[in-house]
Amino acid sequence: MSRSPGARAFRVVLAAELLLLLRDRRALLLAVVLPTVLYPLVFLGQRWLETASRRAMETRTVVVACDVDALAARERLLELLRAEAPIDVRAVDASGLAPEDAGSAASIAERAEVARLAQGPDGVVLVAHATAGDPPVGLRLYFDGTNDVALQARHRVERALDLFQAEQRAARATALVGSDPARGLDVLPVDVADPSDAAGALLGRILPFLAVIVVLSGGSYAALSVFAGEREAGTLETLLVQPAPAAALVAAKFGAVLLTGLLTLFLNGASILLCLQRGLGALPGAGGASVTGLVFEAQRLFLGAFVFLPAAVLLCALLCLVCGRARTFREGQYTLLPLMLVCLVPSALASQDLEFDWLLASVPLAGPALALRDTLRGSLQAPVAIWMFVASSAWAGAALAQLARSLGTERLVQSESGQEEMAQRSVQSRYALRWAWVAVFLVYVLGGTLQAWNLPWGLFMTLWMLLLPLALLSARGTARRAKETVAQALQLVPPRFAHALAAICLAPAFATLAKIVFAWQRVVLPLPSRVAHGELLEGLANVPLAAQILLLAISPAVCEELFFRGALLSGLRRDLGALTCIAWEAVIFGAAHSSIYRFVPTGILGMVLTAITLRTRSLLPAVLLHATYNTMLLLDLERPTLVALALPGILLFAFVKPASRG
Amino acid sequence: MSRLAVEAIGLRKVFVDPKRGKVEALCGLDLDCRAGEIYGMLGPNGAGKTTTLRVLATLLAPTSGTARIDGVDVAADPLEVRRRIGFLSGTTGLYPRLTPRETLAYFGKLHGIEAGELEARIGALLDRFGMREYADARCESLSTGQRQKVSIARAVLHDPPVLILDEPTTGLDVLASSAMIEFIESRRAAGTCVLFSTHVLSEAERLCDRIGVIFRGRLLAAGTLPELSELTGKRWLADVFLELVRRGGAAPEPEGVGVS
Repeated sequence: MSRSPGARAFRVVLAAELLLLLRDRRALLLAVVLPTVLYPLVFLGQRWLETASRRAMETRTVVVACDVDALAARERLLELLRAEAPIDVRAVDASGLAPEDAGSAASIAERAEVARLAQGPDGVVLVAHATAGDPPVGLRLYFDGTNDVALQARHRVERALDLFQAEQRAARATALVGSDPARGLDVLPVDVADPSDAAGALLGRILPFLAVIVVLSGGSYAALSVFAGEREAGTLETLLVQPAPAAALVAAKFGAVLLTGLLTLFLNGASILLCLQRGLGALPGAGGASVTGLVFEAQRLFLGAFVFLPAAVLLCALLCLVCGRARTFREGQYTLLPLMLVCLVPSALASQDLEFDWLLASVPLAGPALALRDTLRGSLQAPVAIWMFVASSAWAGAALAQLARSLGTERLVQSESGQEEMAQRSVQSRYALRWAWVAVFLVYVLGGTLQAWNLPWGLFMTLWMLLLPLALLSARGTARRAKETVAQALQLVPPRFAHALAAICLAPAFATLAKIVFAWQRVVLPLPSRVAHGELLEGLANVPLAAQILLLAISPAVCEELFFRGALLSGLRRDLGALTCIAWEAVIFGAAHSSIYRFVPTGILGMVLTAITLRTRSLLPAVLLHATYNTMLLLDLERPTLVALALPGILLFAFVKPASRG
Repeated sequence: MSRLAVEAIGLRKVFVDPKRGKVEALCGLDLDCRAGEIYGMLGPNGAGKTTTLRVLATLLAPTSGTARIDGVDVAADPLEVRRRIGFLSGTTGLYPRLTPRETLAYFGKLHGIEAGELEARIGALLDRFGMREYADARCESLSTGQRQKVSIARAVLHDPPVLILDEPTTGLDVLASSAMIEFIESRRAAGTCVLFSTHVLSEAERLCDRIGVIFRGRLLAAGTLPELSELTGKRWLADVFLELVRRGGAAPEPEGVGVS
């Protein structure tokens, strides 16, 4: 036979996988139907709503109550106001509105008077009153800033006033110097950016992020179907005894996932571009105005697709890696969620005003996303782009190599045989994860509300009266299933002295690391000033220092450790490997701090604390490290010289074995 | 005497399970089956039957020892071995969204059968198993018995000299499992070597030319039923089995080892 068995198997399996996906209604809906129909519908709906509400507003007659007798040219002003149709201009006597208190908030009496004159909250009142100085007349416009109709009325009055003022100014200037000295000084802004640059810049801000989401959503279903679906159907063993190299099978399956991901990307991209080009939809442009009827250059789009290709390969390889390890469809779906969250973070960088430099070009997903943005903008720098392509291809290649390795025949079959046992075993981890998401939600909603009400008491109640009971409840269920006591499930056992010491030794290094991570993160994700200036501490300025330490250092260490490294880890570690436990802990601990700015630092802390708890088989070292770390950050005690303590700490963890249990 | 179709010498297989540590599933297992012979592997759950069959089918690599299928070493040339075996287990499934005809075509192409010949073989199998009327319906809509037939047809499509069946009647009702037994019997005449595992003694008694009793990763004894009776001094296979296990150095554990 001329063709090698590998190439033949690749072709046959790829064709079969694509056929299977094509016959899967859910896959078709997600990958093909949804993108082609979604964007036109969303854009059309959005436009229809916008025009409908704008028209309703513009055709509405607004009441403008005028008392402008003090003005010499009042007839001209009223004429201009009436030209801003439809306006119901009424002459009133506004002597009840006192002109003296300029700048102060309107009194209740004033508010009532405005409503009376304007015949309801929708109208506005325009008053001209005589003043002592120069100019002899002051104008004042009264309106209700919370009322949309009143705002619309204000807008129309201001337009009329602008015209009126320009006319008056020109007339006065002409009377004084014979001609208008400001003539010819009007500014007419002219944007000289190439239309395709402008369109590309707008698109470049959203497309990279969208592309990652789209590849993930299209590819994830395919990956679940070709890997987890094959196991669930019970066909994997049969496939593996066919005369085809395992690498060819994996390559074909990956090919099917990649093709699906790229097809979804292409359809989404084509649909959104057509909508924008036809003026069906609009992108928010500079200054908040919507921009329609954009022109895109085909050449740039092709180049953009090309520079994004390594990212698509990497994303699909990661999807395959995750789904290849999953024993069931459901388990795959479960593990895909954190992967998606992790992938979205670097791609979101493209919407920030970051320079596409050598460092960012090396970061997986961030590099291609920024390159795509710059390509669409027409400002791509060739050397950095080439480096990005090399680096991203290397990342994608590494993921593919890992995929080929991790899907060795033996491993697949072995985990297959343990399927039922595993399904039963994952009960504990699923239970603990459910509690964890509930806790994340409650801390966000209840804890946020409590802390907004009163920061010290809110913090105290969130930790001791919300998180602690959640920890105990969650641990009780785990303990009951494992036939242990709650204390055993929470690993409330005395640690080795060396491990307790080691935990304290590590704290300075982590305090310093946290500062470095924050500093690095500020480059990528600029902090809003209220977060940067320690809003948290300001709310506690009146609390004595001892109470601050108790509230911000000790309490979080105890309650958070009891929940995350106690109750949650207790469920996770019974079913999952150490690395998976650490990954889950990082994601949930990061999410529980409900701030994107604290996600990475707290995620790292969560990983370390989990690793330490797994190693020492006791919760207390984690509590100690967490409390010491918090105290150092709170009191600003971190010193570079203390970082060296980390070395004995690590050595103690590495060489002192944990106390054996029971 | 006909040639050796399956041969295993001193097979060992050690798994490293992250939670249980090292597990020795096979500890020096020997096996030989001849062409045209139906060989039944008998043993309680966890005895190592599935592991043995998976090593022979190249799904698992042996830790030590050698195994040859039709003269080809499983470790040296797994692809060639896979060409010579048909493999089927009780948990084998089908692609829900392919039809029986497409399923057979898919696996035929993976075996590199030329298009014209593949079509002829599929036609013959559809007739042989009476699958014509549902040949173009999706597998997800078929009954358990119909699916079983598709799976059997798939396993013999490339006309393998060795059939490896891992508990092929598990989960089948009486009708479907008797169809399976008839099929296994029919292969004897075709000169195929059928190696199958079971824990159903009546199946083994009825079908097998020779029986091998496996317990805790070792072959305790192998031979025809009269030979085994003579060896143990027992008449019924159930007694033979229990006697062999007793002599094998360990009385059957009360839990999980029951012969069903």
